[in-house]
Amino acid sequence: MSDEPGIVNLDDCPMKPGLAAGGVVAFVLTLFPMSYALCCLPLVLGGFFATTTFCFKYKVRLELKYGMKIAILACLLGFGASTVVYDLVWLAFDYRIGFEWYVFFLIGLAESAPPPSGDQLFESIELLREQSFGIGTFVQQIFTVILASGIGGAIGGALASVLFKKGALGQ
Amino acid sequence: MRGERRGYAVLTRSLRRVSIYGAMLGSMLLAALFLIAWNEWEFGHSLFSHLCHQKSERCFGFGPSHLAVCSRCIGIYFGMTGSCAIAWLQAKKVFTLNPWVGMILVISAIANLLDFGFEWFGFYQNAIWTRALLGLLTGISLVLFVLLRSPYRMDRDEEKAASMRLLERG
Repeated sequence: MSDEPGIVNLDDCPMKPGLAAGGVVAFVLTLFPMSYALCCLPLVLGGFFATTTFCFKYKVRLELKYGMKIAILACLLGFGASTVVYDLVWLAFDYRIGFEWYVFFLIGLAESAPPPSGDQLFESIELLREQSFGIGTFVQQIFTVILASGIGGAIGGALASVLFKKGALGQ
Repeated sequence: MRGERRGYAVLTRSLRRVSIYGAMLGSMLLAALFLIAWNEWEFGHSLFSHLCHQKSERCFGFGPSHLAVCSRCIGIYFGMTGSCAIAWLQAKKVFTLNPWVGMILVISAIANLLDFGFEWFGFYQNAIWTRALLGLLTGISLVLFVLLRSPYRMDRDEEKAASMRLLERG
């Protein structure tokens, strides 16, 4: 890995395994919109898995910033890919993956809410049903992917890089 | 002894940068959330729609609208931003390993899960402030756990190699 004792040169450790593992987890967990209910937890898990895979694959311990970098990139890949798949299915078959589950979840919340906010929620459900795919939706999705991946990936990567501290130091 | 101090100094600078970036980005995120609520920006609300359910009665109101994330999420963001700012200002005091921080993080995560689960199954009805406080506790303990566990003792070989690399990099 490196001529220097005790240090692993990170240039010799491609990120691919970590990105692939974390990307797959983020892809699967964000494809179905249960992430609406779980906030950024799916992306935290994706990022955590990416950095953990990297640490175990090369038997290194990572600095915080590098662990976060791998996790954020994996989340961008996974969440980006799931958004593309979601949009393609929406455009091709006019079907939104997991949308009915999400509406079911929202209706459950709206029914238990007091009248003013419950009514508002029912209105927003109707708006969601009528929503069509356009350039505005696409731009919003791009920003959402960046924002959510940044937050979730940073948390997951940071946790993984401080939890797994065995092996040589990667620099 | 001298080597240990030098090793810690390198790591401390790095962690201090992380806490500065964390505090800055967190402040920007919070400012954006308040601006979105104040100006009732639909685009802003939809931007956070994948990060949170945004149920209005579970969000804090601000100006004419409510915040784009729920009280638990805003608590987490506030906790993380505040902890980063504290770590930045108190950098020299922060770097003492304390096993209790990990325990607090686990307890707060379990408390959040129980709070969510009990309400989901209808055992009790929680309040907006309890959710915010639990989120705040999670955010604070998460950042402190990460920052406190990050510095570690390098052995002699590692430290020598790290110093050489830093010299090469200038």
